[in-house]
Amino acid sequence: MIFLMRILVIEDQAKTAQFLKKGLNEVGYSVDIAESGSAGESYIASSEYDLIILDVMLPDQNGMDTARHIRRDGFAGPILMLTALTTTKDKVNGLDAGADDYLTKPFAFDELLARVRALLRRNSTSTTVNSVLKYSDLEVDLIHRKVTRESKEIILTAKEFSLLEYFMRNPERPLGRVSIAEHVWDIHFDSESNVIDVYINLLRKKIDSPFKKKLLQTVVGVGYVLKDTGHEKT
Amino acid sequence: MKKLSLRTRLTLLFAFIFGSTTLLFAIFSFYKLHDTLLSDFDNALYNYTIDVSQTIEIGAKNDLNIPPLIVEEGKIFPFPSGTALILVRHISGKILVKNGSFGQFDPPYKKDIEHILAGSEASYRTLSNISDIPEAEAGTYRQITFPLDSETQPTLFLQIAVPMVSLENQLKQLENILTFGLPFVIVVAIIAGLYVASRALRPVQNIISVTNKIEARDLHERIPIPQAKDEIQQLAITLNLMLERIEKSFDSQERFVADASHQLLTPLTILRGEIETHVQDFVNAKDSKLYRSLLQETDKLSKIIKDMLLLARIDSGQNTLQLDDIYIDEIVIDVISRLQKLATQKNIQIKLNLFGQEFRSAIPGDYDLLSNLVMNIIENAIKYSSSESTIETSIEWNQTATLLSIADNGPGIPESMKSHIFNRFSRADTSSKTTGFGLGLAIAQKIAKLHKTEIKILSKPTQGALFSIEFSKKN
Repeated sequence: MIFLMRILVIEDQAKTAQFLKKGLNEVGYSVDIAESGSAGESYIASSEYDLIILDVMLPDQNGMDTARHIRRDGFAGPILMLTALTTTKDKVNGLDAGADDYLTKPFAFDELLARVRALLRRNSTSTTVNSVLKYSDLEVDLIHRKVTRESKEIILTAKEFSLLEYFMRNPERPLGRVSIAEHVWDIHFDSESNVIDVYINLLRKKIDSPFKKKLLQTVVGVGYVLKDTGHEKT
Repeated sequence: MKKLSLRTRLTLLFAFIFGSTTLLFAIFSFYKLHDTLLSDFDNALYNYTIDVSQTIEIGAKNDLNIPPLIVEEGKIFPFPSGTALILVRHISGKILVKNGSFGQFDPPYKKDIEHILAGSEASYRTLSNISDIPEAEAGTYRQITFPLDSETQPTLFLQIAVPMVSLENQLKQLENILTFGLPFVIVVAIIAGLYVASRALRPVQNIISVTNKIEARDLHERIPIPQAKDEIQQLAITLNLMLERIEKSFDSQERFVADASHQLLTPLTILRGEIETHVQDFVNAKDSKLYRSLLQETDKLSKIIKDMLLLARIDSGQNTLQLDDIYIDEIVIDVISRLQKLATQKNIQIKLNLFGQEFRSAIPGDYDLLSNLVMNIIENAIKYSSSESTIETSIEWNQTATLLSIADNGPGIPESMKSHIFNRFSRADTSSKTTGFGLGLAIAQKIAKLHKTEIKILSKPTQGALFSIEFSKKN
């Protein structure tokens, strides 16, 4: 490692801050600690950080507001939010305020490290990776999570979107049910389960049924493939 | 009466008062008019009788001569005089002479003669047994009895009966008007009553619909206070005061859960973090075993705290639901993937099958809570299943509902436990071999109840437990 990744921890609980600093130092990050939201803001103003770990409960202000202030002041790096609140509403509020990820207390330190790594990786590669996948007349925008075909927008649920994304990343390659389950849902279904077939059907209904050209083909004995066969099926 | 709405009750009351007043008035007018018409009729009959009596000549030996009945021109009677029945009767009852087609008819006379002897000018009666009279012209006849020879000591009486055609017609007309008119009036009264009642109740209806729209997420909203200083305004003010109290208690409940989460979980986070960051420092096997055990207990403690806070949240009821369109299959797949690690530790396979995909549809539900419900049931199944077994989950859609079933091959749930398996802090295995504090199923059932459904258990002691839950498409 040529230069150290710098992390700012905004956390008022001295003990939490200390073990975060210790743990992060051990794996090679340089850590600064701010004990309040306003202190955090001045730290960010005076030096460069690669990532911010932000506690939602701060003595001087709500962490949500801190996140908003940091974003308003132009910080573009990832923010990982820590909180004791667990409902989806709380998570959505946090992400809307400008956080990139969300971890609920108490957490396993390994998970925190994994998320920090993922956020830093995403940040360093996000500008170089093509965010729009194209195959035939189908387009998938990974950032805005928008799917269009023949310039018509198609509304997909989160699961359907992940499924399509997997096919778009592996065009013209036959994909087996087991690998689909493992890649899309991080799950292992036995071969008798019809879950994958049901979801393929749901996806076909949305991306193929309204159009002449069918892209999602069944490969007998193997699974499915995204392939433009060139001729139009009726 | 209690089952009817206030509007209907007011309308019925209105129609009843209006209808009965009209009916009484109609009956009164009918009889009053009847009396007037009858007395006019009698006057005419009396005049006619005088005319007839003057044309009768009484001979010296009481021999009588009735001339042919010719009505003088210029006189109009309310009856056709050509069909009048005329007779002269002796005080003894003997008929001396008669004119007209009487047939079997023998006019009554005794009471009338008594009446006249008592001093009346003439005596009237209405005859309704007209079937004896051949070629009767009307349903009823009016008969007059009149002293012929002397006013003080009469021995001869003139009796004349005429058909009451015109009177009958007039009364019939009035009756028709009343029989068709009255129901019409009552229908009008009901419609008018409905209109008046709705108008009077409209402000109340407004308040009801506004109040219905105020849900948990917009408890800060208030009912608009009407301008007029009336009962409706008081109702609105009272409801607003109540809303304020609800909002306050709701806020404090939310604040409690948030504060408690923070206060209880922060020390645990520190505890867990410090143990974790120090665990590498101890190479010593004995110490590292101790630290691992401490970590496990901290995790258990935080799970219990989270469960209890969740219970506190859902105990406050329907209001806390964040309703969205939920696909149960997505939740189940998500939960299975989260529990995969736990299942693999025991070499348990979780199967999932979907049926009736053509009916796949969303149900109204709270994503977090439903995930928690499914998580608790499957986690429970993993906990009680033996190693190397399978847990079979299935989702079946039909026109009206989504049915989720989760079957395990564990020991099953004994009949005696079924009734309180969903109680807090109870569990099927009373030995302490399996961990957990029995909050999971209580929470799951509570969440099901909030979604207006119920978790059902089908279990045989040898074949494991089957949990099923049916979500209806509409709440």
